[in-house]
Amino acid sequence: MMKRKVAIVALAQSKYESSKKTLSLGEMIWEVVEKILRETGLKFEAQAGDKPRTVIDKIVSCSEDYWQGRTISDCFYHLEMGALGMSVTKVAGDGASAVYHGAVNILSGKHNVVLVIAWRKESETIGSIVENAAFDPIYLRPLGIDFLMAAGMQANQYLHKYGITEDQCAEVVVKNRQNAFSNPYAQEPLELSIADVMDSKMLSYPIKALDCKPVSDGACALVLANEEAAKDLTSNPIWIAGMGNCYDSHYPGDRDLSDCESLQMAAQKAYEMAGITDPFRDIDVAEISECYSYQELLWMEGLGICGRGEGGEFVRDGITRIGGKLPVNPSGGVLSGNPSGVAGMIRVGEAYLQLSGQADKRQIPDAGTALAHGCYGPNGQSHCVVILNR
Amino acid sequence: MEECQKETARITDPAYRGYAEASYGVARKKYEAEKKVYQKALDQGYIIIDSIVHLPFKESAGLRLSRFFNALRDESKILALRCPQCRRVTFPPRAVCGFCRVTIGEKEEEWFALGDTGTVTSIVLPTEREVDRATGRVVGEPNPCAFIRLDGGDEWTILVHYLEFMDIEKLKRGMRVKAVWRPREERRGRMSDIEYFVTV
Amino acid sequence: MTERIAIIGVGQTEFKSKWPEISEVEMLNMAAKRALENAGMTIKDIDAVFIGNMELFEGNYQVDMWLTEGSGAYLKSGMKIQTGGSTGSSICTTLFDHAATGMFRAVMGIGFEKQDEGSSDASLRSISEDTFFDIANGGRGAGPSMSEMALDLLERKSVTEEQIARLRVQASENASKNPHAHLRKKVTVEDVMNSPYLIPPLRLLHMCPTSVGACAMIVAPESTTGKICPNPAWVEDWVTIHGGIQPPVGHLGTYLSKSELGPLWAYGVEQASLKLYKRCGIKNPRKEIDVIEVYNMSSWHEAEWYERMHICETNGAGKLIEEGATALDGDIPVNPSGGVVVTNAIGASAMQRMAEAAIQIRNEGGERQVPGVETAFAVTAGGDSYSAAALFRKSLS
Repeated sequence: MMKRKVAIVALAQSKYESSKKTLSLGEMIWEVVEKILRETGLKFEAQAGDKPRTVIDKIVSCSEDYWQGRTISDCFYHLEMGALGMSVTKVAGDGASAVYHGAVNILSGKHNVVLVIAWRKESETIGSIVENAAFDPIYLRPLGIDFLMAAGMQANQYLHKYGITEDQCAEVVVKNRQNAFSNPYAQEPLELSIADVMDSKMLSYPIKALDCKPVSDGACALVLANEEAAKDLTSNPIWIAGMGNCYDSHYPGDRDLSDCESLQMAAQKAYEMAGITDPFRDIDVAEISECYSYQELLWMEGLGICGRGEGGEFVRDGITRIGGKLPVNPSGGVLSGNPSGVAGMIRVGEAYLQLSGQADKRQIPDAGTALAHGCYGPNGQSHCVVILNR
Repeated sequence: MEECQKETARITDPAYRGYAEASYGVARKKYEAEKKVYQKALDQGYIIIDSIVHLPFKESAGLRLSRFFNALRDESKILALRCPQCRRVTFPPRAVCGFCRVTIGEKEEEWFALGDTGTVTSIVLPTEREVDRATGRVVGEPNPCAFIRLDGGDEWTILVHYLEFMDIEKLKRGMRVKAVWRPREERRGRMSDIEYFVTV
Repeated sequence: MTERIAIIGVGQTEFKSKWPEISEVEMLNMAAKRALENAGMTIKDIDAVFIGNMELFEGNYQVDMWLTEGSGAYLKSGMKIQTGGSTGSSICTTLFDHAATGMFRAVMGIGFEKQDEGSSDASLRSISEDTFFDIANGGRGAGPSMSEMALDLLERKSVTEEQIARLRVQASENASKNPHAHLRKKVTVEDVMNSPYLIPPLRLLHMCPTSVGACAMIVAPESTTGKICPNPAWVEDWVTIHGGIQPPVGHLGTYLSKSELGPLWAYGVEQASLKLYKRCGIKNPRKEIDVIEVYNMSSWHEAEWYERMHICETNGAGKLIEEGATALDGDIPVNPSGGVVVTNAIGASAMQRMAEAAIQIRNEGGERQVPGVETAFAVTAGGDSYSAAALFRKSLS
């Protein structure tokens, strides 16, 4: 059990936009870091002068070289991260993994307060070319495959196996895009009907334009603290009760794409730590990373929120709406516009806002336990699950 | 980089030419040796897959650097920021003072212009050059380049830029240099709006 | 819940300049298997696998995904860590932190570079600098900063060129005894002093090669170590400090010899070493440490790090070299592996410093073993003054 060892004490997000043209990447990063510093009053360990008892003593950044077109890409923004003279590690993956890393830095006993930052400007280059480079260079990349095509394959397999319908997937889009209206940071709230989604342009069967997330720019930062420091920093710390991450195999042919074994294992680790035996009953709100609409259904099944093949009915029956038994993605989710790589941290952040009562119009009343999920790699090859408690 | 292409023919100093040719020779030798190793593997039946990733980027300079490059192009001014707290100079302008972790660049009084003259703190000679794997062409410029502390800045003010061709013996740390600006119509709002620096 | 931790297995491939016969997957797998064999474990005993690699050097985005085939990360925890030249040591500190939580039975990290598949030179020179100020290829990469540092060493009479040549000879002596080094041929002082200048005073033979290879390391908490490892290298403490000095000055080691923070290339190594000594109660590093591994990207760096690690006094690096103190049979052997100047596969090289320290503690150094090692120290450096330092002990008191 992870009782009260690591807490989230502060969060800052950008307003996610399809193109933050007026801000440089550095300015976008500083915007969220500055908010956190202002809110918490925290200083960095390396800053000269009087040392207050509680300082940020570690920075974990989360970004990818490919999206910036340069190597050691994070070092261009170390000053914006406050990293001068600090201990810094870069996790090149999803934001939820960066949160995991930051929590480990505290659980090891080596650090007390960790600043975790994720950023990406998807608008600055061409996503499908970057994604193509994620596939192995020997078999898959020469085919010209990108994540959308891989997702199409997975969606086909998943929908076919369980008889889930395209309009059940469309239901997810309608729900999440509607939820986004209540989230001031959400990129693209939309008033949609199922027909709107079904009529949108077919991109990679059965995935249509509105089944996909839009291109997005933004950054997210949060502060993790050990028990003692958390008490110093906030009257409302939200505890990480459990966490787990797991890799699957790379080649789509080696996996049953209608399954998500690595998500099940990641969730299992998190649930065990958090003492969760019945996810549907024990979790009050879930923020799940769904870059494509079918993924919200598939990941719910992998998380054990519903049974295998039941995802479609679950969403159709309104269980995952705001007001339903287990609201999923009250923030609007990734579908409403989140940058990949940051998305997992945004889910953790939104879960934190829910439990700390700061979720304003999208607040789920009396939420006591939240689940946040991030995924990375083609077809969700790796997953990270974080359980938060009040 | 195209605006910085200089013809090898412009190299007049024999010693200099020797340098440039020697570095070209080293680069070509590496390329040829590499091809040999791969050919050997290919002859043995190993498969080697060629690929090139072409990724175009459109990077936003943002609020502060847009102002910086506009001033460079339109007013021949090199702008920098002074932190209101510690008074250190941040060049080029960015959103934060790295030492104080405070926002800079939002207030007018923090902006000021550096001189377009300066002192060379470090020099790079045009030695080893890179060979483009795909074409076998040698890339990189034969000009020396330098780290220049522009006048008006402090110890953290450094600009990396080209120097004119000159005798190698004359390249010295501590040299005083001045910017040679491109004609107004050739400027694009990039650092290349300064063509290079000459000694004064 | 936190536990003391140890390195219980190390595996390295051979290091060469080109390796077209194997794929990255096979190369990683080789290192991973050797580490498991060294530890007497199977992949089933490992709970998490971490990879470190500078992706743009080989052109593979999300490379940890493809490499699950060879790294053993399939159905295990893990993530990808990147911090430039010090990537290998960042993987190590990530392994140390994970193991110390007590949440994992054992964790494995693999650092590697297959630079022949891409072009790290091109990566470093043309796209590692800032878009807006990359007017001159960022000043041609790491070279200039290194020449500044070398000139500084000469100017304050800390070393002579001849002494640096001797360091390079020493590295080649050690490398000839290390089957995992890349450049194993012994060189002479004449060879070094006559090799062509790159950026004066840096000569070709002073500089590290670009190597291809992988290094894997297994770390476990005491609860596992006690059960399965008769010969652990205990990790007493670890520290990372990052300089964070920015382009367009150049992040690759930086160029300022005088600043309020001291010479900027030295910042990370010095601060990390001092912080670690303080935390571990080390007052006289030269006396209290038995062997050191440093990140010597060139032989000049080795001399510089002697001073920054405080194993000699300021401007005293040359004296240390004259005494032969850092040779394999000296009183403070440095880089029994030969160091980075003979083997530089960027993702692996920082890990190899910590791996070699562990090898020395575990008495597995073969021909290059320093006798009677009880305490070992490793400190790494990378672009933008990223530094990690760790202290290893044969036994915990």
